[in-house]
Amino acid sequence: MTAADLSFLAAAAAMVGGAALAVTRRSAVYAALSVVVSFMGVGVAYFLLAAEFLGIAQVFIYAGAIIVLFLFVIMLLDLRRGVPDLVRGNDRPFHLPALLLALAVFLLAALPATVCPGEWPPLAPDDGFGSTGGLGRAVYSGHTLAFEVVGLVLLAAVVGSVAVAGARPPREAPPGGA
Amino acid sequence: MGATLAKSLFVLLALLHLVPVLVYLERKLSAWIQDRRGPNRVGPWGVLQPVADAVKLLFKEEVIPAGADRGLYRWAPALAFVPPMLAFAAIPFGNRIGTESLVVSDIPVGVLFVLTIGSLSVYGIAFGGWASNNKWALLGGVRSSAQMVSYEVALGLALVSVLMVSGNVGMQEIVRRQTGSFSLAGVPLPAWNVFQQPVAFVVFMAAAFAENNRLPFDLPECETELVAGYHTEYSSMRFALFFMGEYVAMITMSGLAVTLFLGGWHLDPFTDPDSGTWAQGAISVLVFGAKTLAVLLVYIWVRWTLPRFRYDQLMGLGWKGLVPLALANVAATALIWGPEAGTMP
Repeated sequence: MTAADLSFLAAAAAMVGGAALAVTRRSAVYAALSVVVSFMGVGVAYFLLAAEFLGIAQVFIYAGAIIVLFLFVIMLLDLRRGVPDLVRGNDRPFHLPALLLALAVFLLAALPATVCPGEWPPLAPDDGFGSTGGLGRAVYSGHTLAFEVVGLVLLAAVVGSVAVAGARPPREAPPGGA
Repeated sequence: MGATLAKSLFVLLALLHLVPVLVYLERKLSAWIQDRRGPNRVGPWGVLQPVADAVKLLFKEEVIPAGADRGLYRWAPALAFVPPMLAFAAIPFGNRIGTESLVVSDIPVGVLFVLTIGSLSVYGIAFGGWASNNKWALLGGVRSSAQMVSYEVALGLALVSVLMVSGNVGMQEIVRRQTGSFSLAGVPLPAWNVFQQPVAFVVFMAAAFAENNRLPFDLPECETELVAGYHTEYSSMRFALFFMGEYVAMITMSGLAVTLFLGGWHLDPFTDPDSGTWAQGAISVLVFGAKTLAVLLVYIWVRWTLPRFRYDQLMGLGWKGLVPLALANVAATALIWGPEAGTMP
């Protein structure tokens, strides 16, 4: 078993374990922490596939920014005991099928593709595939149109969210009179 | 393997020993700025004051508040302390000795690694604030998470223009690009990025202060509003870990600023980028250390000079000031350097 194999197993354990904890924790803060662990595993997996830019971007954007925003909302609303009771309802029976489904998908799709390929791909292929330069060249020369369209969609989302957040209700009189 | 281990040990010990030195310097400099004497009782000129503080913190009783989330409360200080330490692994602290590059790990995405891992310390602050079961601590944690996300955008955009000029994301390569010289309006200058990208440097430093929760942006702590912010309930060594984490984060950020903008380990007549002797390696480490210390002194100087921002001012400055400025700088850099990105103008 090589160092790459061991690293992959550790990353896979972090991914699967983190994801499992994220859906089973009652406390929203612990769930967020588990998702971070899972994302770290994904980042390591990208590194093992010689896609170092994607790996670091995965951690930078998801663990470093998006989950921090989640945490901001969780702490702002102070969801100390997790989701409110009215949302929770009777979620118990739902756990088992979901878990089994996830396991089945993992076993059917992920395991044969990752554990049995025999040989790991060379870590730094010669054509620069996956490196920062290679990715940049691919995105900005071969897929310029797609890149621009994605940029436009994201811009629309930003404008939309600013419009929604900026639409303030008419100011009410302060409580307790003037 | 052995060389990597030796380099890791060197960085670890250097960082840990720099923290008490910085604490002493901070107290002494703040005293001078405020026309006081500062620590002067423990040892000559009070230099042993940090040792006394450390002993005091080690022996203090630790109090865990009732209602605290004990697991997270215990682990949060470690989450604040480890990431900045880890992030230093990608910062080149010297040139090379023989063929051994003086950086713990010269990974191809070094810049992003330092930023990414360094920014994870926000979890320590946010979780520490949340787990304390204290409204001031919680507010500190909430503030820190929003502040971190906002200023990371400006920080990243400031880096984009530097990377465009350097034409590379590897840290040693970025330093090598700065070893030459160029002339600006007839004045010969070292080819440091601070002279080629002054706007990016200003944005970077402002965002770095916010990332490190240092005055004028130390809103997560903000003793006038929040008692002590996220570490209100912490005492003893766990408080010390938060404290040390902040200083290590400052050192790492200063090291990053030196590497990206101030020529890294190179200073013209003293270091030779092409030499791999032990003496040259040692000199390059000393140059890097001196530059980093200079940036750290600016951190301290600013802290004791500027008043604190209000929270809405902080957000306004970040999103309406620094982000557009950095974006404009990226556009200007693209226009000026254009297809020749990565070469001198």
